[in-house]
Amino acid sequence: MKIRNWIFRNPPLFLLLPGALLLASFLVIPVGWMIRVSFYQNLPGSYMKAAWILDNYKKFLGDLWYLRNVLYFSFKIAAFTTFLTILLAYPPSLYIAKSRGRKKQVLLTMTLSPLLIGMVCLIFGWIVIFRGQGLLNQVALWAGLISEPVKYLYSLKGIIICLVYISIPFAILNLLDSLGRLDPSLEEAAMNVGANRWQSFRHITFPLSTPGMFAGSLVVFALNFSAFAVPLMLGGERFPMMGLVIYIQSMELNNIPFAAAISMILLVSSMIILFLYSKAIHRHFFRRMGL
Amino acid sequence: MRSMMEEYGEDKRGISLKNVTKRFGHLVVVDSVSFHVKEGAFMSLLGPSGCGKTTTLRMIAGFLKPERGTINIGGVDVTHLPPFKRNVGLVFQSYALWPHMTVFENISFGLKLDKIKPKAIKKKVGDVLSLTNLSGMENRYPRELSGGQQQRVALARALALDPAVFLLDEPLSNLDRKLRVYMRVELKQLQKKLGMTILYVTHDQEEALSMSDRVAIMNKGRIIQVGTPDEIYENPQSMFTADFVGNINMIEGVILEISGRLATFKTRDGFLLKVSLEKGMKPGARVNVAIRPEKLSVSRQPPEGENVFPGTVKFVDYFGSLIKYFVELETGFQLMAENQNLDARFNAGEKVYLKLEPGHCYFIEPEA
Repeated sequence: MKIRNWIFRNPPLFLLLPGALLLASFLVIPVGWMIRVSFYQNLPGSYMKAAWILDNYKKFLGDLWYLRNVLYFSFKIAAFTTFLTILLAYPPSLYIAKSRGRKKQVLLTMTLSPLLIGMVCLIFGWIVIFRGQGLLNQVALWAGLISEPVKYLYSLKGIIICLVYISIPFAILNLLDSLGRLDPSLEEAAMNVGANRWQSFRHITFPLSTPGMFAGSLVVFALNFSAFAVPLMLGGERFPMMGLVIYIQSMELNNIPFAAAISMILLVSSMIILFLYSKAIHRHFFRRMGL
Repeated sequence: MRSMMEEYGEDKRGISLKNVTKRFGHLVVVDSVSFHVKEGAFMSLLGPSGCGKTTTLRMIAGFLKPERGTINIGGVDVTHLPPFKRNVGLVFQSYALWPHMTVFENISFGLKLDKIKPKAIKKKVGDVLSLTNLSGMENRYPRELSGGQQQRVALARALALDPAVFLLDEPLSNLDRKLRVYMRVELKQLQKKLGMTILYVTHDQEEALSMSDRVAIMNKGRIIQVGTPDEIYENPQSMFTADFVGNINMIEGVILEISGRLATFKTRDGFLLKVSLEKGMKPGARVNVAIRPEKLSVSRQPPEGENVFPGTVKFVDYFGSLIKYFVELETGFQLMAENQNLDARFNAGEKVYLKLEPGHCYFIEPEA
């Protein structure tokens, strides 16, 4: 009886319960455990030992190679692919936002369809396209764009193309959220006072779509900064992005405490970057728009 | 009916539409519409929602292309010009103020595109702000303004560019009633003062009648009637106009005989009505007689003259300044009478006499 009363008095809290339980069991507990393990002592050739030591963090943060070739390298790739993704996702988002009815539905479904396929399948698909004798090279050779096959597999090019490809649906979803909500009469009003299509886009639509652009870039950056499957399958150890290094440390070198520490560094640095980024954006754009 | 010469001949300025037609798929939304708004005149396009009035406006602004016909603005054929090359100031129903720009930036945007010097821009913006009673609001954002103020910023933005004509798309429909009536007067005064040429789209007949020099009634994509507010109200040419503008009593029947300027009309339920005759009607014609409720007089004693009928007050609708009586005649036919709230008041159930002055009744052709 008491429980029922409580439920009726606090419906929102009650509705939050399943989500809260799920989050606790699948996020809070594992991450809490990972934090704990990151302070463990690794025993080479054996397992690990419960301890409270900072060796794992020192090993990463005190080593210029890790900082430069893993952390900074991951940051560079994530930043570049994010930029490229937003650039490539913008025109189709604009087009979808201006479409109506059935056409819009079809375009949206097409955009989201890659998300329905597992990432490993997607990457295998790209391998077929990327191979020396693959589709991409054959078409480029046939069109006379290149004179000999280009190496995409196990190269930075392939990693970047694939990361951008996987990120684009996320960027489009976020951009559409902003663009789709724009009142078409805002652009018409601009044309009415003499702005041509480009000017009304440049001064009205584009600035008003920045919230979606920034939301999209936050998601895409977070995804790509911690990318794992793509560098593993298309890159290899020559391209040690954070996710890949964690995998190698834990699964191949069996250094679980070190992998946990790198995971923590990934998590914290990602949070710091996103925090600074959104703060800068807020200062420059959002305050002006009252968002 | 004015001649074509008067409508489209000499006065090339203002707005002229000739046989403008627009289809959406198979649906003809605007059907061969022609009208002319003289320079410095205030014309309303009045019609129910979905009648094609906003589509007409959007074609004049250039957002839609007509399938047939020509559009002239300020003496220039703009039919094939893009919206940004037409000399037209548009005020949107939603105001369409740019939320990321201040009032000053909103108003000066068009001027900046015209590459006008900053000093001149500042002066112009100051001028239109004082015209619209918005001085001191330059640095506010639209979200910091009330509905009425946003509406005036939208107007100021159009004014700043000195366009040849103004198109207003139900600009007052988002304001509350009191403010709407106030803005009506303000807008009309501004139009007179500056000699603005205005095409005003609305579904609110009160707005159209009170502000316009001329009103065009639109229905199902066609212009039904064009005239001064007085002509539209006092002399509607069709059932639609009579019914859409104001309230009206419509009585079906047939003309029995005509003597001089007075016709004897037999209503469907057998009353004989005298109706003054304007245009050629023949005995035997099936027509309707219309009379406005405020032209019906109600009294307790039978008055002198023609067309006096006894009846019973069925229902009293009290509006404050006026009172509506629904009076049932002996045959059960109901008429609506509207009286000023003066001395005589009647109660439901009371026996009264209705008088329909022959000069206040007029014939309307029934719709096919």
